[in-house]
Amino acid sequence: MVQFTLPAHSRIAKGRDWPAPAGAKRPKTFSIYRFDPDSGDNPRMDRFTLDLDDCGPMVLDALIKIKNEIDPTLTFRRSCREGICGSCSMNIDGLNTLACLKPIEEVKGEVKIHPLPHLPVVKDLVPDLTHLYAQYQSVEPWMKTDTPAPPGKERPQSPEERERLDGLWECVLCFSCSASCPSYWWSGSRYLGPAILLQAARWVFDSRDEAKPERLDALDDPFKLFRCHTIFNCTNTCPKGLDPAKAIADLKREVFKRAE
Amino acid sequence: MALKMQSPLGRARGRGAAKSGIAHHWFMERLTAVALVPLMLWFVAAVIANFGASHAEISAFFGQPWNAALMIMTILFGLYHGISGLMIVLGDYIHGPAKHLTLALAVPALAVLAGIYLIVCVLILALGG
Repeated sequence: MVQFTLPAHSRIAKGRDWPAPAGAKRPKTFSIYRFDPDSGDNPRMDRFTLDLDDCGPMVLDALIKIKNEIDPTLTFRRSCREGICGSCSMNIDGLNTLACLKPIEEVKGEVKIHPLPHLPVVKDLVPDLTHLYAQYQSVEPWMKTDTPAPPGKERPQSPEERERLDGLWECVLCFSCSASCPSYWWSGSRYLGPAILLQAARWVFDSRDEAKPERLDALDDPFKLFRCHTIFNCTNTCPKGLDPAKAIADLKREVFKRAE
Repeated sequence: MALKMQSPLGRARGRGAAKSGIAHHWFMERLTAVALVPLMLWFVAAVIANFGASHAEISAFFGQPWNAALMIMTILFGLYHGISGLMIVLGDYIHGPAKHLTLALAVPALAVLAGIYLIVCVLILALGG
């Protein structure tokens, strides 16, 4: 059965409180999920109060400031700080997003930050993405062809054929969508989830790819693809403004058309 | 807990795709949903029109072929649609293989029984029983 309550060791305790720096003009409190697997302690929420006059505009700026100046043990993934690498995905103010694209000003009151929900936590804001990466590998996200490329040239694609990939190629694999999807929460071991299905669509609808039959074969399943119940959390949460729900609907129709 | 040394890719691939014609069921869910819109409107209207009617009047109502036909369609489409939904809910929330198999067999079996029973009732009324 589905688990609706947290196991005893996952219940969140109250953590440490770091007060605002002296003379702070625009104090803002960040309540951050902390978990250290080596300590044996339950997770806790630590509260850090910063002066926004002395901090960059994005939530990631605040996290980096806290790590640099207050608590160097705070652990999170980040790299490009401009929404391209997809590393800093986390749950901010109840919505999965990229910390680097989320302005602090958009959050009213305390900024509550948790790791992406329903994934095993490695430490603090770092979830274990092993299964998601393995599912990504399982859809074989690379071009598969029997026809060789024209000698010395790239494979041709018309502007219209290329346009079909708009809204698919921009995904940065931050997994905000998959971690927001109740269907993925309940059946993630078998359901591929919105991020992976959007990537599958990116290859299914690529005019240059010649492996569509086997790609659709691999999706023709009550769990892998059809566990999507059009909840639309994926589309609501995507920090890149993409529409995984539509990509999934297109895949379902594509599988259906084979029998039409 | 048993030690898990299977590779992540092996676990992600699992048993592969069932290729069990799920797209057909997916389409039928939508088809029955659309068909149930006018059928339910007719059904609600029929209930209102026959509210407080006697057994003989109900029998006469279903004696009209179209009324009996629409009632049987409402039963078939309603049960098909309801059971499809329930099967999805089972898939979502009941993960133990034994529990899931038991319910996945029992639910459609009960639906078939209910469907046949209800259709026989409509026919008996229609034929003046």
